[in-house]
Amino acid sequence: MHRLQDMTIKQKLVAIIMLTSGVIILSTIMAFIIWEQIDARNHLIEDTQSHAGIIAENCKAALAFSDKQDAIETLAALRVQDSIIFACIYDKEGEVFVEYRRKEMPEKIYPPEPRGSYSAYKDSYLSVFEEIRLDGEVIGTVYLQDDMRKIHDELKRNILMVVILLLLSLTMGYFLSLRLQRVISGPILKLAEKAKVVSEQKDYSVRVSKQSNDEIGLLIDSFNEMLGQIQYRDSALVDSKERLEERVEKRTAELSDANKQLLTNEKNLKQTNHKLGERVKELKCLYGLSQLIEGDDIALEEIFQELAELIPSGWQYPEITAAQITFEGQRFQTNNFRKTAWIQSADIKVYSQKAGSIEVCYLKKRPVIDEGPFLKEERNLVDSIAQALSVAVERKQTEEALKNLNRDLTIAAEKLEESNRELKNFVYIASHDLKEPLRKVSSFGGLLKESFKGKLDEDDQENLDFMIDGADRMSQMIEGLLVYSKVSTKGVPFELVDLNEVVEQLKGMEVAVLLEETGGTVEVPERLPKVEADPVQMRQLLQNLIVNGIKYRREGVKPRIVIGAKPADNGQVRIEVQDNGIGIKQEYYDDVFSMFRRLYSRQKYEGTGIGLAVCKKIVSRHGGQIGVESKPGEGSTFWFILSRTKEMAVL
Amino acid sequence: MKSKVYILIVLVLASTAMLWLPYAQAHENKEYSIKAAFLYNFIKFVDWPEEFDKNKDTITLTIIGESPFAHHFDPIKDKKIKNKKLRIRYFEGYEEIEDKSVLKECHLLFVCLSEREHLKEIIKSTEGGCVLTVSEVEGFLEAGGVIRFVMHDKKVGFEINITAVERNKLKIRSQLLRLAKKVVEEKKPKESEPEEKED
Repeated sequence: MHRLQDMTIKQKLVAIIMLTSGVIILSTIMAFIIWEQIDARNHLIEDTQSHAGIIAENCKAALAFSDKQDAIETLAALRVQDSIIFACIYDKEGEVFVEYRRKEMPEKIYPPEPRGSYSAYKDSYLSVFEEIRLDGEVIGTVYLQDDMRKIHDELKRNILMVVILLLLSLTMGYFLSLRLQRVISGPILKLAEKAKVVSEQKDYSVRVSKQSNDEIGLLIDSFNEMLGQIQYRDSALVDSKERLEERVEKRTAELSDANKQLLTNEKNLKQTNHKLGERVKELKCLYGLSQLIEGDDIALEEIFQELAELIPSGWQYPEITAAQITFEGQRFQTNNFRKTAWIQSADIKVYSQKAGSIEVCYLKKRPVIDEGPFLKEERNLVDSIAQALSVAVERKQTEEALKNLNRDLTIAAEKLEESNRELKNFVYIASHDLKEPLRKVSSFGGLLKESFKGKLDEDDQENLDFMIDGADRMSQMIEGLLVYSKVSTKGVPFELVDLNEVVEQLKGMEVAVLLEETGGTVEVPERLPKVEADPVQMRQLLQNLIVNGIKYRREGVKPRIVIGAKPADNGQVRIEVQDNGIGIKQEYYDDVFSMFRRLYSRQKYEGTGIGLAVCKKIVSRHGGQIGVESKPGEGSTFWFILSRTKEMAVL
Repeated sequence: MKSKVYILIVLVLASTAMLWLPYAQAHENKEYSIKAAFLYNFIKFVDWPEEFDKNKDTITLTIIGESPFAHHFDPIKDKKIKNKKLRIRYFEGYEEIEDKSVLKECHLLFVCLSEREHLKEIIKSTEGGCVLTVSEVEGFLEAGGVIRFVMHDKKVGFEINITAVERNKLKIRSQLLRLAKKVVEEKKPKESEPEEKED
């Protein structure tokens, strides 16, 4: 038995048509038969009921007057109705009055009990009761019994007919559908056949002819189009395959070429490699040489010896190479050195003077390459070594000299430093220790002056004054020296110093008395900048400059000091302290900053000659500059330049 | 011996006759019961003219003479018929009726055997009314009566004088006519020829 999936389209189509038409025909006929049956039944009931009604009407009188004969005759009229097989009339009491039986009726039918007017089916019989009424009074009942078997027989006959009809129509339908299904299955089968041809023979040039414009026609169109595309692609594929093969061949040829090239290259590479090896050997030799030369604590003799042993490794055949270096009569050579016919040499020149030579020999004969047994590179190499050696000897000699010089210098510097330190100590200790006896001289001198006041004569008095004054001045000088030495020995870390504040403090303290005595003024017309500096030394610097300006005032002119600031180069600041004093001639501009340098006699202007020296020292410690500009008789301007920022030279 | 046999026969016969007597009695009873029912049913199969029935709420059944029915009217006595009350009236005899016109007003008049002498007078007095006259007296139809009871095969039957029906303006239903053993037509002045009706 075929399963539905395995059926061909042909079979499916036929099956569908058969099934559809079969179901339709069957259901139509069934409906018709059922309807017929129901109709026949209803007709039978209606007929029987009307018969019963007629009988009831006609036998009223017969019943009323108990005329059986008449009743029988009435019932006999039922003969014409085939289906009625039995009939009877009951009287008022329910007794059978008369009855009618169809002749061919073989069975004995027992009339049932009358129960009003009604119809009922039982088995294959229809029973109809009809009451007989006379003047509204029930005087009896008519009973009719129908045989339904006739209807049933008819039904059977109908069903048989249906079956025959169905078979006939299905047979017809089968042949018809066999013929008609070709309309649909034909093109599909053709398509399938072509598709099979395509798939089996890979022949994409096949086309299916189109016969209709329905979905199958569309399918065929699509199939043809698809085939067209496949054909196109197939040919393209074949083309590209051919091209690919060509390309592969070409590529293979190229590759073998490249391979040959590669082999050649490899050969070359090997040669080059060998050459490179040679160069590496040479370079190693040269490097060894340079290492030797660079070495710090190595004597020239050692260099020569080691070099002689190093040289063979730079040549092609180190095992049969020997070397000798001759320098200022000394010989440095490898163990196996002996002079042979295969020799090359170079001179060692020190300051263009021949000082020695290098000789390299092959102990055995080697094939002549280029112009001799040695490579060109080797010839160059021996020259290079000689040259390097010359330079090394020169350098070594220079170094030697420099070292000696340096040693002397260091000793001298150490000595200098020592003496400087001693000097500093001496200055400090001397000044410090000198102050003590001086103070005693001065104070006891003072006491003596008080004690002998008026007791001494004028000369003694004057001598005593000289003594005290001398002691005081000496004390001042020592004080000045102390300050000077402190500048270099006792520096504090730099910090931000407000110069305005410094000037104000000086005006209020250190120079207050001096200003009061002289009636002088210190003016700061514009605010001074802040500078990074040693605050104590800044104070000292400004104090010294102010005091200096007041000290060298003109006769009869009140000293006036003006302090200002100007920006200088490189972010530095220039501070100017201007006075209206006696001024300085230009030739003394530098001298004023020297220690104990005085331009005027002590009698005229007091001073130790240390103040400006201290100033110079302070400024130089701050990495700055100091100087003076002046017009004699009008005044001087002392200036110094300081860094405003932290970038300062540290002394 | 023979005499004994006769005696036995006589005895048997006598006893049979004695047994028969009550049966005959019963048979007579049954006959009048049926006849009473027939009378009642006649009313149903006969239609009276409307103008006669107008203004009457009763249907009157009059029995004249010595009534053979005894209690046989009891089952129908108070029954309604044709939507009217059934009234049964008895007259002992024609001569006893003072106002003879009363007979004209009744629907059905049963003339008993005792009145066979007065047939003509009774029928005459019903003239002008619409009376269904019934009797068992022989020659009743010839006298102008409508229905006469006859015994046929030991069964109660009846004959109908169709002319009298027409004269009395009555309408007898065909079913009733069909059941009649005979339907007679008066032939005036000719002799009436009873027409045999086929079954």
